[in-house]
Amino acid sequence: MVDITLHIPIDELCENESFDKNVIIEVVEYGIAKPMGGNTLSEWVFDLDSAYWIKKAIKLNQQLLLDWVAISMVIELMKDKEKLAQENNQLKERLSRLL
Amino acid sequence: MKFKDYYKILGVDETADLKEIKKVYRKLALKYHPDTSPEPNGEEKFKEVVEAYEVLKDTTKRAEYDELRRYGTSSSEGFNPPPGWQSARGNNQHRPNEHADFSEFFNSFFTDRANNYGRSQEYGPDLFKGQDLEMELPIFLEESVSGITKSLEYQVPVYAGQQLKQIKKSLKVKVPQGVSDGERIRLKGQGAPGSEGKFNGDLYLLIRLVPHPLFDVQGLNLILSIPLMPWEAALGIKLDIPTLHGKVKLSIPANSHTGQKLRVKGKGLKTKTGQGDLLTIIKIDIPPSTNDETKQLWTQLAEAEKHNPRADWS
Repeated sequence: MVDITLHIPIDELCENESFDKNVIIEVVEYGIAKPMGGNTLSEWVFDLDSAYWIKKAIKLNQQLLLDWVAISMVIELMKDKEKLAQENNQLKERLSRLL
Repeated sequence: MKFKDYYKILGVDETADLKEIKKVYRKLALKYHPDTSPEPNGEEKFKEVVEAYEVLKDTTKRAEYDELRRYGTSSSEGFNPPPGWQSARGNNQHRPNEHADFSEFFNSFFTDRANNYGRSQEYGPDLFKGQDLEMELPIFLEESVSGITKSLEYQVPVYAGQQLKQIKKSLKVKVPQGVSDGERIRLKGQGAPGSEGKFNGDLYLLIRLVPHPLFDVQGLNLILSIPLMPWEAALGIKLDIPTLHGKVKLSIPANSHTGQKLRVKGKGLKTKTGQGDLLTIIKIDIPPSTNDETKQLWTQLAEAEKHNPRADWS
């Protein structure tokens, strides 16, 4: 049986993805993700959804050479799009039961 | 190995300066980015564009590439670098910083100096971290409520010498109680293998709830559609309705109408963050066929009932 994890500490995230901690601070400062716990930087822990958006944001920064303000806006829109797509699927499912 | 014409990929002249290369790259990267591009083969084109920019943005790499381009030869058997050229992959083995998304050409000549998208340099020259993998895990609603042990089978990319092979891997995982659609679970070290059997990548499982035949999920609430015959809706009825934990009694009041909601408290999903309810929605059904007797009764009803549901139209 394999152990599961529902969060990732900042040290592990940085080590796994070769991220600099300062970049993570930047991502948090722009509201793209926020740590679920930890009072100091080295204690920061992210849920896996936040970790997913951190990775996405840093890739966009590298690949599209966008600044953090633009990335923060893009990520916000991507989150909204994902949420709306999920809601849309749920509503379609519900509608099909009522028709 | 096939030669890559990075200038052609970006559509720039070989004399183009960095400013122009960057400008063209941004335009193409936006056009083909996998998150936004509707273009067919957009992802493949995006990888090519990123690879070309990775070389041409770096003065040293660009100079080396120009030399390869000038003096190398291409034949039907592939590309041959100029005589005496030192390939980055001298021993024909997989290198730690090899980039899975880039071509063999790139990985042969420029891998060791790739760092923006390459793997960590922190593991030392002979150590590298394996790739993280992500896969969807469909589970039934009942399984998310109770938690369940699932058997997984998936493919792991593994280098055998220079060749990338997919190895089948299977494992058992305990999915915790209360997981929701779209949630991620991390299995540490179950991704692609790193060097020396250490530094393995992680496996991320993306939970996907299989649509339930009866219930829809809205946050912590469950939604159940209750089909009623017109007379049941008009007169009211007591029903045994299904929940995820067996049946419960529900009184449908008289004169209920389609779309009316009734809440059954505490019969939704339960997680660490709270307890949801079961929301029932009434749906009026009509008998599929009408015999002479029921037709007569419907006619009597039509004559006795003066309510006009289309009164607003006039």
